[in-house]
Amino acid sequence: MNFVEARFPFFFLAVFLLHWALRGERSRKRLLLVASYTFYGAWDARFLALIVFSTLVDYAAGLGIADARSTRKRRAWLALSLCVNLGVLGAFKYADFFIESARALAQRLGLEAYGLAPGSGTLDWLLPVGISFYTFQTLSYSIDVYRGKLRATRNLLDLALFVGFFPQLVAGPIVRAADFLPQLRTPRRFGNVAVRAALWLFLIGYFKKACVADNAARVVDAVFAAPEQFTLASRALGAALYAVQIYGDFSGYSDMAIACAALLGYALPENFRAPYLATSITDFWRRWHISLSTWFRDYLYIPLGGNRAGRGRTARNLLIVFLLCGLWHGAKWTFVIWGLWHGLFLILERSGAGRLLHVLPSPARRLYALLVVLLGWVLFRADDLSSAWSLLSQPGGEQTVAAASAWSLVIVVLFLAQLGAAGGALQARLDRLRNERFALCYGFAVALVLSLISLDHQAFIYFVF
Amino acid sequence: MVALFLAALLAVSALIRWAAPVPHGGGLAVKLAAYEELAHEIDVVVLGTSRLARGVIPEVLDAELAAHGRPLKSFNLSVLGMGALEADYVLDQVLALGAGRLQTVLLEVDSWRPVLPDDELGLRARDVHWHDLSRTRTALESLWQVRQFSNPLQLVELAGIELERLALDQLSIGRLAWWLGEGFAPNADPLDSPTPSEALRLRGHHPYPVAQSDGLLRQQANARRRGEPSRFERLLNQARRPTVRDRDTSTYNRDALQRQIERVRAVGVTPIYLAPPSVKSRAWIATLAEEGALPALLDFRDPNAHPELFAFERRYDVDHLNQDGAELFSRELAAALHRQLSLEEHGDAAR
Repeated sequence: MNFVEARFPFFFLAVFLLHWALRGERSRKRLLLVASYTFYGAWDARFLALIVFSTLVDYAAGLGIADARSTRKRRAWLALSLCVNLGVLGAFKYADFFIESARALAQRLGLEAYGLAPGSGTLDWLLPVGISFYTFQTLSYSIDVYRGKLRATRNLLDLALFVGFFPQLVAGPIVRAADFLPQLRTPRRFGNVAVRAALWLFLIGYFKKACVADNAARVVDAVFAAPEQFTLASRALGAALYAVQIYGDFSGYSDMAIACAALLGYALPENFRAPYLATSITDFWRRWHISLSTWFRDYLYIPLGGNRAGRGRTARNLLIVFLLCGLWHGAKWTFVIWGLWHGLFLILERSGAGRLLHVLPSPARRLYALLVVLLGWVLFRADDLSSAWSLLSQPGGEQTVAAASAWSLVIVVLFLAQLGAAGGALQARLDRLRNERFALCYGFAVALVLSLISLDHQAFIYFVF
Repeated sequence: MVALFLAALLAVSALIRWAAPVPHGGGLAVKLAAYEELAHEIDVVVLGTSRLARGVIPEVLDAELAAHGRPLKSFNLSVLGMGALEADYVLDQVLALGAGRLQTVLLEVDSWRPVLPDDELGLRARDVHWHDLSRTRTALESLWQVRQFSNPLQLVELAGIELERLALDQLSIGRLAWWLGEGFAPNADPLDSPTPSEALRLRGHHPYPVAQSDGLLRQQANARRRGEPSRFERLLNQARRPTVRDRDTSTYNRDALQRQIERVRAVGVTPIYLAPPSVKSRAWIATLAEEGALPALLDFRDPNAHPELFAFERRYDVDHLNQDGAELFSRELAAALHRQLSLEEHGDAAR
């Protein structure tokens, strides 16, 4: 199930009403766990076993670390958690990628005779939705317990709900146990829920996804399917609209997730902060997929030494982090190169080029960041490196998306509209409205949003990560 | 509060529904626009699935009718994957334009039963747009008549899907987006729908991009190598020997068919039903005709009666004709239509 399916409002309404109708916290948490597993199982119930398995392993690892008397035992428990979580992720997401890459390399080296020739042998396993997200959540739990930043929970229900909480289960934001488990220990009160703000945020998220991203996809898909047929201007338009699409798709999902959680009384972390207004790539990563970038910062970059051991080590650490960040998005070389592309500019910004950037006026810095990000998205969206190259370098074809210009303009207007709708001024005005007027405004807005959705809609881009 | 919210939602949806056009997808918008342009000169409309969209060439049909002394002009409004319910909706669009010169509609006989949507295609505009109250009722009625589902939950699921689509249609879902984006037709249409100029020039015929299907040829060659009959040959043999079960019409929605016939006749147009040369066993069509449920049937399903239409070299794939097959079928259809119209004229004269 996902947030833009027609059955979701009915599902959520039932969960919401039951949740607040129940008295005990334990009953509410049980309900949320059942609802979460139902939400995930509606996609493919088989993979629920993986979530349960991951939860049980981390429950045992957390308690093992907490109860261990020696550092060696604590390390062993942590190693178990890391190996199991990363092993499952590796098997489902990366095994075929490494097998295929090894084969391609073998073919180039003429080693087919050693059984490395292209052919069968890949696992061809279906990728469980959201596996990268919940794996990083469970890892954060074990690592925080190991570091002594978090007390291991003895409540299996709490840990299971932390891992499986349906609003953020399949596409984030990536929640830290240190932020979420304490919320499960304190009773939730409906009086503390900002219902209007949550309803408005959900609608904005829905609008970004179903109206902005999915409508932009119509142009993007046409251009990326056969870039050589389009003029250079049309390709640039396609690439720019992909930036709009991926932002609307992912930040829209995050907004809806945060809103759903808020309506149930839980707070999820902010995931986007106007990323295309960034003045550098460093700034971009403070605004884009914040829960992922801070995860990599806290659990990989800083343990590797961060920026404390000289320029060379900092550059190495950045490259490692962004290579893995690219790989986290998918088992494809285009993602790896995309990660390295961002890593490269982060290194440049930390060297002399960064000082040069600071001299430039703010609009020029924004333009620089936007161009780097846009070129990065071409790599990210292309099916393979040669497609990306052909989109960027081949002479333009004759086909234009001129007919789509008006449509693109509409998408840009919609994109700007969502920025305005999410702005504080409108929010403040809505807060001042009487309940009856808010209900009328909300009904009007919902009808308008529904009429603007793209019926031939796309699945969430980040579901496959 | 909830009542006010719903009132605002329904009022604005109704306003959008009134102001914005219906989002016709899958090539239907193009074909309907072309038909609207030519409607004043069209005598015969053909409505059905891809079997007819690919298989009936209006130019050939008209030339053959003219050779029989009937200078009529036809338009093929069939669309790939268009089931009876969607075709019934398109028929209403045709009738709404007024009869004009229109004398005859040729309707493919198909089951009224809704089927589970293809997840890969997602929710498409064309799956929603025909879900008005009366047709959703027909869909639910047809489901209730079938009832023979291996899993009873499937009946509930299908009914839920139909009701969901009715709600989506009533809420004007996607109408403004469709209207605003109408100028842009991405060329990545999964159904290779015709361009507006093609739809006008070919009067709705939807030829395959290539004359012969490599896939079918390969399947046939592989089966021959293995010494087994191919899927096409297996289905052909089954079509030659239909079983009692194949003839069963108990799950067919006769009421919907009757309502359709009455609507067509009410504007002075003659409904003629058509069963194209298909290897999928549809023996229930003959039973339906024998029982008198169909006013007139042009039946091309029998491989024994029309062997040339089932010849391997005239097929594009298992269930569709290629260009050669379409030309032959259009000529045979013209002859059959001429005979049927003559019968009706004699009948009228006798009355």
